[in-house]
Amino acid sequence: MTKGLLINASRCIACRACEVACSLSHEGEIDPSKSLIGMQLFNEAYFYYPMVCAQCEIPYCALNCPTRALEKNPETGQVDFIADKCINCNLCTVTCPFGAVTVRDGLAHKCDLCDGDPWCVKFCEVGAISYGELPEPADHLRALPYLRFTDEVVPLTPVTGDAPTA
Amino acid sequence: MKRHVIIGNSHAATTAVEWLRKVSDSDEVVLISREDGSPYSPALTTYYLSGKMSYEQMFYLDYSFYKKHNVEPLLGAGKAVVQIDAAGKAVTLADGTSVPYDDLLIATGSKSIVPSMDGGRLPGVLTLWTAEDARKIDDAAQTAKRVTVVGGGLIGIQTVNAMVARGKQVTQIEMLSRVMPVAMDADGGKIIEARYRDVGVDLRLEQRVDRIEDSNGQKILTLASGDQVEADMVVMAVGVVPNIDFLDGAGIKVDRGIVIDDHSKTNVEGIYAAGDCAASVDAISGELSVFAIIPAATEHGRVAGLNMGGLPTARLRNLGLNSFTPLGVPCGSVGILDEGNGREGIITVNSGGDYRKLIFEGDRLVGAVLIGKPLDEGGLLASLIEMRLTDPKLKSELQQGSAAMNYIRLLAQEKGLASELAIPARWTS
Repeated sequence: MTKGLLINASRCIACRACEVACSLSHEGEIDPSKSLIGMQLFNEAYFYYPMVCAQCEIPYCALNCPTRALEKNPETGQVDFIADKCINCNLCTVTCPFGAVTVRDGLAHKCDLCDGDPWCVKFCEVGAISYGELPEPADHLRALPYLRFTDEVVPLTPVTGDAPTA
Repeated sequence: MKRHVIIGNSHAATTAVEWLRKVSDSDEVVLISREDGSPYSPALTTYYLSGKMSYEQMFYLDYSFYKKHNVEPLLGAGKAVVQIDAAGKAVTLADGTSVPYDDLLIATGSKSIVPSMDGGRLPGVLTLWTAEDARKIDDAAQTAKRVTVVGGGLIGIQTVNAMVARGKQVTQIEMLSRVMPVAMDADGGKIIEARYRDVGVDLRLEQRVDRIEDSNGQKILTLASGDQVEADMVVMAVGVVPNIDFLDGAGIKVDRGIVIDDHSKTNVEGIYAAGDCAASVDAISGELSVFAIIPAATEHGRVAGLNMGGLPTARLRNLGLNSFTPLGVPCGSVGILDEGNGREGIITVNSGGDYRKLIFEGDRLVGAVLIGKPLDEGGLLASLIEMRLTDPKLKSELQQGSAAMNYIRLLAQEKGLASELAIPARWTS
């Protein structure tokens, strides 16, 4: 089983506490532009979604990394980043279906789950982000953790919990 | 137990091995390459030449790869495949050995085009694709002061990067009116050209090299315009072509590259192809294309490996995905960049070195050119392109907002995902 971040979009109020927590955890400063989890807003629809690495079963970032700086960890199922190997080629940025890998200061940056103790989860007051076992895809080789143009739809990132009552 | 034979030893081949082994532990796998050594990436040669990595670091996997995946490697010049006997299901190697297969994957990649001009093969006139090419260029660059790069495509650009990093005086010659004619548009090209001027690269556009002569080791390039350029070393980076000259008689259909379907299968039963040597249908344009890019190689290879291992699988993506960093400027492009034919390009960002152009076909996003900060959106825009959404509001929304917000909203709405994402219906109406 792979552990990762579970997003319940219906609980998200776009307070951006996750971004604050993430930049604080990784950079030691409060700067949402350096956050590895990115709030995506669509105000018209009152829809918010904290976009973050989905630890994909088919990890396109890692598949296309020419130095294997990004690699699916066979033990944990998580996509690890080995900074020493990164050459700033940006292929991860253009191949991640979520835009969850960005390049800054000559290095790729992606969620590392804070070594198993994600700060975004701790800072999320409304329970929109939790850390736990990602559901097993029906067919782990075929199912894509992102939306395809077929009817074989698997959610962007796994979702748990109930929608809030109005 | 099946015997899978794979020809090639880079991204397409190694990805195929890795995914084949996810579904088949016991089958026999033989990997054949005319190059001796563990797998390396031709995309890394210019990083080695720039001093950013060692020669060894181009080899992204070491020999333990073969052992780990229980692969029998047949490597070296003597192991080059010279013929495929499709009827007898065997390949013949240069040393005369015959290797039988149950199924075969051709993942032999590209090779450099050596132009037929006078002087194109003089000593000191080099091409760059293989690790060996890179070593030769490294040797020549030890003493060369002035380097001329012929060609303004990806390899040309990356070679200029490397030579500038090594403090060479660099001239680049491109036949067309801009650098990166395939993976960049005219305005994006101007941003790159401005950076070239800042750094002092002598960029000659719309110039064709007529001939190269040697004068006491010094190369003199005569351009079609009559201008002459002197150099200590010349790198010809005029493009690559599929490396498939051993296919004669096998009956495999070729149209620029080996034609494959969405399962990476060729027209010949039991023969697959993947990567730079393959021609596949671009998911966005619907046209048969040779993508000489890592993302195509790995997806073709992944799908080939699964199918060979016994799990019928179609590929999930097949579109242009490029990234490159000319002299430190992060650039990328996704999807189709050609305008015309009813396609319209809209520049939504163009300031301070940042650039974002979206290409639409009607209301449908088909491509994007990105420089600087907007490159971070590349992956999301590619997803949006692949979703083939034709929301009439999409064009104006994309021009204003980020790709992501639209992506999410459309994801929720158009695919009826509201329930799966646990979004109350009223929020997405």
